[in-house]
Amino acid sequence: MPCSARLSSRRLRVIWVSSSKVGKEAKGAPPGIRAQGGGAEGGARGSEGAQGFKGTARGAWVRRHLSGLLAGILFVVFALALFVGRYPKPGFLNPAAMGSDPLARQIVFNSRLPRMLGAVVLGLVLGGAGASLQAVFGNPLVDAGFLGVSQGAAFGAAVALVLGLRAYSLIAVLAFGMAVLALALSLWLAERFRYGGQILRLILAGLAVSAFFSSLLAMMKYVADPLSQLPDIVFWTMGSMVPMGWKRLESSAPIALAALAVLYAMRWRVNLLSLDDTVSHSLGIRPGVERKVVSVAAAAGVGVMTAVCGVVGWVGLVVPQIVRAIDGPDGRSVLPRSMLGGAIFVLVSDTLARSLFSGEVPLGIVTSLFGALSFAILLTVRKVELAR
Amino acid sequence: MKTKPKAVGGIAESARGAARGAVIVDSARGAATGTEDHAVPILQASELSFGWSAERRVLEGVSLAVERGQTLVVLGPNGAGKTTLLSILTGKLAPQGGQVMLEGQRLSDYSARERAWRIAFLPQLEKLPFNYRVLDFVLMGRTPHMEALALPGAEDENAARAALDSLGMAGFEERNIGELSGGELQLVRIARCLAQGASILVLDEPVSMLDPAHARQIADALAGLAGVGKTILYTTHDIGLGIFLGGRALILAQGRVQWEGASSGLRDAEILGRAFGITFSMRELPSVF
Repeated sequence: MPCSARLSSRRLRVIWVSSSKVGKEAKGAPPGIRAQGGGAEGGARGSEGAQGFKGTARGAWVRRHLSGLLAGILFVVFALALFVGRYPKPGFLNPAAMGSDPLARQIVFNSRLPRMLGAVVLGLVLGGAGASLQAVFGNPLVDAGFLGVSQGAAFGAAVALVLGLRAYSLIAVLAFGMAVLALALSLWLAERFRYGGQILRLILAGLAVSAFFSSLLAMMKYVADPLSQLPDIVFWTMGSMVPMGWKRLESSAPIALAALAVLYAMRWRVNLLSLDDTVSHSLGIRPGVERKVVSVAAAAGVGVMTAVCGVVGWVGLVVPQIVRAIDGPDGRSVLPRSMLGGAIFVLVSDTLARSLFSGEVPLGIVTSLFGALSFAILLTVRKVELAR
Repeated sequence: MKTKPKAVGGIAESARGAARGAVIVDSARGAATGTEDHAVPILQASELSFGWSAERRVLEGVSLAVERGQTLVVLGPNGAGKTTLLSILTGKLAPQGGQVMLEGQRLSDYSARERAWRIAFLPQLEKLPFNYRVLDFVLMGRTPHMEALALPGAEDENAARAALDSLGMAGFEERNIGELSGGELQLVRIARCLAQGASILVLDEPVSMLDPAHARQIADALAGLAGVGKTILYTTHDIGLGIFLGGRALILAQGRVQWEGASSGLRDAEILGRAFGITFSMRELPSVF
C-alpha cells in the first residue's frame, strides 16, 4: 500500500461527497461497502487535488486560526456596531460627540450596549445549541428550536399578550415556562413512543410538540383582538432585540451563559454522542442520559433568550453547517466556533435590523432571510459534508 | 501478497494451538472440561434466552464460553439470533434468562466504564453522520480511559496512533473517514476498538459486504490480533473465514446452538448441512481464505 504517497498529499485531498450520494449510501448500506478498489487507486485519488478552500495554504491557516479570527471579528463588529445606528442621523455616530451629547451617551450605553450584549448572548446560545444538538442527534438538520422550544415559548408569550399581561417580565416568564413545558413534553413523549430508536423518537416527539404548540398559538391569534393584541403576537414571533435592556439582560444572560458552559464542557463528548448508540454504549457511556443533558442545556439557553427576544430562526441551523464545512465536524472546534459565528451573525443582523430603515425590521426576518440565503448558497456552491 | 498473510495466520494458529483443540466447553453447564479445565473462561454465557415477545423468541438456552486469547466464530442463517447474542454478550441487551459472566463476575455487575475496559464491540452497521478526521475518530475509542468531560491528551493520541499503526494504517491520521475505501474504513473502526485497550474484541460481520481483497485484509488483521493474545468473538456468513481464522466455532440456528466445536469442523459438509438446512459440497472453489 502506498502509504507514504498518501501521507505527503493527504493535506490536499478532500473529497466532498454530494448530499445526493449521501442519501443513497446512508440507506441500508453498512459502512465499509463503498469498496473503492485497493491501494493503487488510493494513491491515484491522492493527486485528485484540492477542491476549493480546504486545500490552499491560506485555507489551512484560516482553519487553524478560525476561533481566534472569529473572536477578533466579533470584537471589531461589536466595537463598530456600538456607533452605528440612526442617531443623530443614519450612519456612524462620532464617538467624540458623546462627550458633549448626553443623549448620545444615553443611547450608546443604555440602549445599544445592553441590546448588543443581548444579541451576542443570543447568538452564542443559538450557535452553540444548534451545533451540539446537531452533533448529539447525528442530524445536521436539527436546530436550536426543535423539541418544541420555540413554538412553546411563542405560545406562552401569546397567552400573556391575549390575557392582557403587558408587563414584559410576565410575558418572558410565561414564554420561558411554556418553552420548558414543551421540552419536558417532548422528552416525556419520546420515552413513550413505541417506534424507532431514541434519536428518531426525540425528533418525532419534537415535531409533534412543535405542531401542537403552533396550533395553540394559531388559536391564540384567532381569539386575539385583531387591532391591539394580534399585531403584538405577530411581532413577537418575528423576534426582536428591542425589549433587551440591562434589566432583562441581567435576568436572562446568567441562565443562557450557564447553559453555554454546559455545552462547551461537553464539546468532546458530543462527538461520542454523534456515533451510533451501539458504539457509544460499548465505549462505556450512556448515550440516552448524556443526550438529554445536552438537550436540556440547549433548550434552557434557547428558551430563556427566546422568552425575551421572541423567535429568532435559522441561526442555529446555518452557522454550524458553515463552520463544519470549513474545518470538519470535531466538536472541540465546531462548538466554540459556532457560538462565535452565531454571535457575529445575530449581532450583524440586529445592527442591520435597527439601522437600515427608519422603522425597525424584526430581527427574526433578517436572520431568516440571511440564513436561508446563505444556506441555499452553501448547498449549491459548496458540496456539503458527507455522511455515509 | 498472497503468502505473507497466510504466514501471519499460521503463526497465530500455532500460538493458540494448545488452548484451542484441547479445551471444550460443555455448553449447558458452562464448565470447562478436557485437559485444561483449570482455565476460567474470560467470557461465558449460560442458558441465555431472549425474545421480543412471547411469539418472537430470538434465543433459547444458548451457552458458550471463550477462553482468554481464544477465537470464537458464531455462524448461522439470517435471523438465527447472532446479533442479538452479541448485544447480550456486550451488555447492550439484558438477557431474559440466563447470565453472562465476564472474568468470573456477572457482566451486569460491571459499571459501563469497567465493562468498556474489557470488551470492545464493532457492530456490523454504524451510522457515521459526520466526516471526522481519522485520528479523532480513533481517539473516540479512548473514552473509557478518560474522565467524563476531559479532552483527549497526548497519551490518548499516542494510543490512537499506535492502534492505527498496528493495523498498518499509519499515515491515515489526518485523512477523513468519508474518503476511505470500505476496507480502510473497516480497519479504522477496528483501530478504534484497539484504542479502547480491551482484551476482548467482539465483531459483528467484520467482512460482510467487503470485496475479496478487503475481506482478506481484515481477516489478516484479525489473525494478527489473535496472535498478540486478543480474545476475538465474531459472527460471519463466510465459512471460509471461520476456517481461516481458526479457533472454535459455534453454529446458531433458530435461536439455539446447533453445533459447537473446533472451527476445522466447519469442513464437514454434514455438520453444515444440518445447521443451515441446505446441501453443502466440498469442491474447490475460488476463495481468498
